[in-house]
Amino acid sequence: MVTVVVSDGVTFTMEQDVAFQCGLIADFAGGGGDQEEPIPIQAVNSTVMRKVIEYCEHHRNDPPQPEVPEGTPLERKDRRGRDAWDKQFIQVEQELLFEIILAANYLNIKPLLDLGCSQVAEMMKGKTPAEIQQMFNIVNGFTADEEAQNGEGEEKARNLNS
Amino acid sequence: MNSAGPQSHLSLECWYEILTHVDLATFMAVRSLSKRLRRILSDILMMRYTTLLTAFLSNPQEFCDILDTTDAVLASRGLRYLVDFGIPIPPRQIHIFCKRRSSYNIVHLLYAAGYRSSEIILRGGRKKVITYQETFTKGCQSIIIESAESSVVVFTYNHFLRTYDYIVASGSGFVVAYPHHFSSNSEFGIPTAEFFFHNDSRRFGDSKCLSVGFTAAYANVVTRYRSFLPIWHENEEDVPMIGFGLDNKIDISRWDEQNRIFRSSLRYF
Repeated sequence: MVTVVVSDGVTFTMEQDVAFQCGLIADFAGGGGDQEEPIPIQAVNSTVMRKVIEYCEHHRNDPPQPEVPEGTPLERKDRRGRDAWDKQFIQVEQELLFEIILAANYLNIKPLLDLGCSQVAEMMKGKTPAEIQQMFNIVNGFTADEEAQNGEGEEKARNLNS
Repeated sequence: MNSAGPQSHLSLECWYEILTHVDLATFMAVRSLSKRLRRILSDILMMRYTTLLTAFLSNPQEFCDILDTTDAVLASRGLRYLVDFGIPIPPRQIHIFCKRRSSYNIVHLLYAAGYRSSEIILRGGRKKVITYQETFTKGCQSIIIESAESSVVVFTYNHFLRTYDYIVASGSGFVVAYPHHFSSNSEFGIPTAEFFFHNDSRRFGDSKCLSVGFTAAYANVVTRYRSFLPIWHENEEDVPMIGFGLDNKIDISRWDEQNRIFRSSLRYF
């Protein structure tokens, strides 16, 4: 068994095959036997950790996925696909979705990171630049001249969406 | 988070992952939103080209055969125009034109593919190298890399008693050319530059590509080319989506028409 303690002090105990889907935990544990000391996971809170564990438990029996080189098209990169359970799992509030993505990135759970990111991409689909900007609270940092040039690009995006 | 970047608390690393999933329309929308996100999109695009180039280098002749039958070049997003002055290129030689920054990456890929450098030629001023040419060979196959600091490069060739000047604007990426594509194509007779999309896709190794055509006009010489651009997204319904980089200086005045043609291409896929 592996025990972790998250940022708000809550501890979680899980079986190795669940815990070791997190690359960070596997590295921390060194692939050895049971951990005596809880592993500190300071970047993740208990709410998000519950979701992460739920995901890892559901996929505990999945076959190991081959390493995919950088630059591989997504059609091949999407190792696991999104089954119905995954789709349901990732239907969460935007704030929690971001937290899951950050946690998956921090804990090094590539399939969960892909799932979260593809969900965000799905949320962006069909949106205008202004809607995306508002949705993600993006500050552009362009100068006035650059903004004027961007207007042309936005026009293209609108045309593509129409 | 930096004020010039996305203000959601997602890290740029996470944004990188997200933006590898977006479709073309979202790609176009996002690139106008943030400088940092735009840089990520450029990186993603170059990564796709690297994959494509790796496939090319693993079997250049087969790759060229495909390009040959489709009258295509493998072009980067920054390609503005490739002007043909009837330049003679010896058989069995393939030229890759690129900016200096891209050439390091391509040289690395060439070495990985088993090519070895046989000749280096530097041209230019006394202090600053303007153009750089390096020949790589593997068996009887030669690949020549030509690069320069500037995005608009003028190369001069001497062939018997004639001197040929031609321009390659390669942007941030690369252009692969070989003898066939330096023959004159002026019979197309199209008077102005335009951009068109073609309902054709090919698979090169792990990369699937969309062919995109363009014409180039310079000094009364008009040449029509087709280039291949990487496709990187298929959604779960198995309807392929495409992504590519548009150079907004090439087609802005004719966007409506191009967009119409382009969207009909999308429907085809």
